[in-house]
Amino acid sequence: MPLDPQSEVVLEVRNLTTTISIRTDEFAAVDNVSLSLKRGETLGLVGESGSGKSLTGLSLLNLVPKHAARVAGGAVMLDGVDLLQLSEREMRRVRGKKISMILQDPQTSLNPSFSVGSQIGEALSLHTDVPKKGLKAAAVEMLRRVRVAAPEHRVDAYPHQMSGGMRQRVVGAIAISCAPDVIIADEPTTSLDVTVQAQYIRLLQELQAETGMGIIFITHDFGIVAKVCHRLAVMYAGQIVETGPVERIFDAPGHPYTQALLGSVPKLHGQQGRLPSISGNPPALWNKPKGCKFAPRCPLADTRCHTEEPPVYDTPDQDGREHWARCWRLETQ
Amino acid sequence: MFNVSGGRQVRAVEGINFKINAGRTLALVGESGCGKTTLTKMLLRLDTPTAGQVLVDGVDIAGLRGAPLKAFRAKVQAVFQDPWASLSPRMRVRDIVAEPLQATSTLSAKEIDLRVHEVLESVGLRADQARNFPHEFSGGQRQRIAIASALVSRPQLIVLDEPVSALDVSIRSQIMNLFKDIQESTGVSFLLVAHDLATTRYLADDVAVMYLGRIVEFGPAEQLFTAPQHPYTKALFSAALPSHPKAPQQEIVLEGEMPSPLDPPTGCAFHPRCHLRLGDICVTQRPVMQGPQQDVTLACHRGFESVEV
Ligand SMILES: Nc1ncnc2c1ncn2[C@@H]1O[C@H](COP(=O)(O)OP(=O)(O)O)[C@@H](O)[C@H]1O
Ligand code: SF4
Ligand SMILES: [Mg+2]
Repeated sequence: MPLDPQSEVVLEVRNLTTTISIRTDEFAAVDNVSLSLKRGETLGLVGESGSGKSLTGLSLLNLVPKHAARVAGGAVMLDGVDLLQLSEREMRRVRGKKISMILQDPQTSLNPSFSVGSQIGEALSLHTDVPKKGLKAAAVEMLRRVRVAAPEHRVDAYPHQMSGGMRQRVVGAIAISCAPDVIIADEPTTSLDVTVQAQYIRLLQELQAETGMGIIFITHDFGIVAKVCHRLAVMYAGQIVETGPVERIFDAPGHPYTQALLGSVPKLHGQQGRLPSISGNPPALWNKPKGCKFAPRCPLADTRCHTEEPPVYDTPDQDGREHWARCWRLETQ
Repeated sequence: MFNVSGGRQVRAVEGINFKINAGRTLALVGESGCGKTTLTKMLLRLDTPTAGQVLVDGVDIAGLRGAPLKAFRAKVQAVFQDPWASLSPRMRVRDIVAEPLQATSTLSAKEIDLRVHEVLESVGLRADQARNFPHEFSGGQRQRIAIASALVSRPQLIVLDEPVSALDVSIRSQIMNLFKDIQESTGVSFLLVAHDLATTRYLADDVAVMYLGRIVEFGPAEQLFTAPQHPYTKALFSAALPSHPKAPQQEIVLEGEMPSPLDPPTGCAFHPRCHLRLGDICVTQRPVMQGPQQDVTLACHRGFESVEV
């Protein structure tokens, strides 16, 4: 679905930095991340595992793992309020109601010992004024909205009595139960069958069309990006290395990492022969290169790449839409 | 009937007959619960069928004991999804890789070492890494170790069960290239199970589409992906994610979930979800396998569509 160009910004993240402590040291696992999201927009956040995608999502809700991680700086503006300045009590009122997250693993986000109906009811009672007596009916309605068949029966089921696709819908129902402005979906379809995945994606798109919520879709699958996202942010070693409109990045990726990733994915219709691949592995948190974080794996790296961190270069498209990448090669373009 | 390298005949459960030729890759596709895992487990003899048999070279593998079983295990190997779970953490790489040889081994320790070094190098690792433990390797390297171990007994068939889905995007293509290289140099056959259709298309020569424990369409990958015949194949492939934001997409929406394989629908098991259902015949009569036409076999009352030229 194309995005209305008049749509206003609902979430703005500025210079977000989240550190992980390992023994006595702190390392930036989310490194100076800035991004924005409009109403009704889907922003894809892609990158390899460990690149900091989940931690970015968790930081936006101030849900980073307490002892290991700390949001060290930046601002997360939602509706004119900086979420990072809120107390835990204030934050609890925002979470679920204005911004919510669908966690990577539905196994861990549903409690096995409560019926799905009571878990949806609990989310509703936290953030809405649905009376206690009406919670079950409201939960049935939520299940209906996420297209669970026979919701009157399923409302009493326990998570283990449901298929993976169905559980993922329940998690979705909880996340949207209070019609938040922003949803962060962290790899919600990774282990689902293609057909179930397609149903789930269609569901998210329909809900977005109904409510106008903005979605940050965390994934490592470019197929999902191609299918649902308007814009894309590519993460590498804690940094966003490229951002822009999805078609533009597919057609003319600015960063060598994005280029290499896109090239290494097999296409459903098309190429045979060898797949291009990226040599080596991403750097460890405590051992990031001094210059460009991608330099050790980059086929285009020169001496400066290894010693100096590249700045952001803007390469907007004809319509003036934002597109930038963090690579020295763009200096001369 | 099912030919593994050099004319091995395998016959598995009722309704499931297929063959894999030497140096070829057959992919099983279908939604979870359709029987892919059961089939591969039976083929690896990790499970025995409650009905029907698995015949390899005309021999029921459920009856294998002792030396013939060991010989069978050496011929059919597997690589699984999770390189973290599948390697035992306390064993050195040398012993992990050599494990399939221990059972049958007529080889001396020295010969085994040589064999291990040889396969490690063939999967892009160094011979001296045989001394290391699994935790010293990255995910992609661990999958290489698992592949080395599957190769060491010089099998004729390797079952690849979601072999790249746990790996990072930047590592996947390295491993997929490796599978192609190995197949070219050793002539081993692969039986692939992968839910990502682009991966399947890239690696497979032939594809068997399964629904509720039966094969509904079988044929060359190229043929199936460009002109799927069975309504289920059409729907399944139409749900595949696009490779470009502007790629045209016409998704055929499959309503409902897959019924329980314990209580399959009458007639054609796919009929309750089929968007091209004919009528009573689909509800009451099980379609038989027809063909081959252009190397494709099909179990659907609609029969083959005439292919436009
Ligand atoms: N609870 C934690 N304890 C220690 N390190 C963590 C924790 N959570 C995340 N990290 C580290 O932070 C980095 C980013 O992780 P994450 O956000 O989970 O990446 P992604 O979601 O992109 O796979 C990684 O290096 C990871 O190891
Ligand atoms: S800055 Fe240099 S090393 Fe980094 S991506 Fe660009 S060319 Fe490659
Ligand atoms: Mg993650």
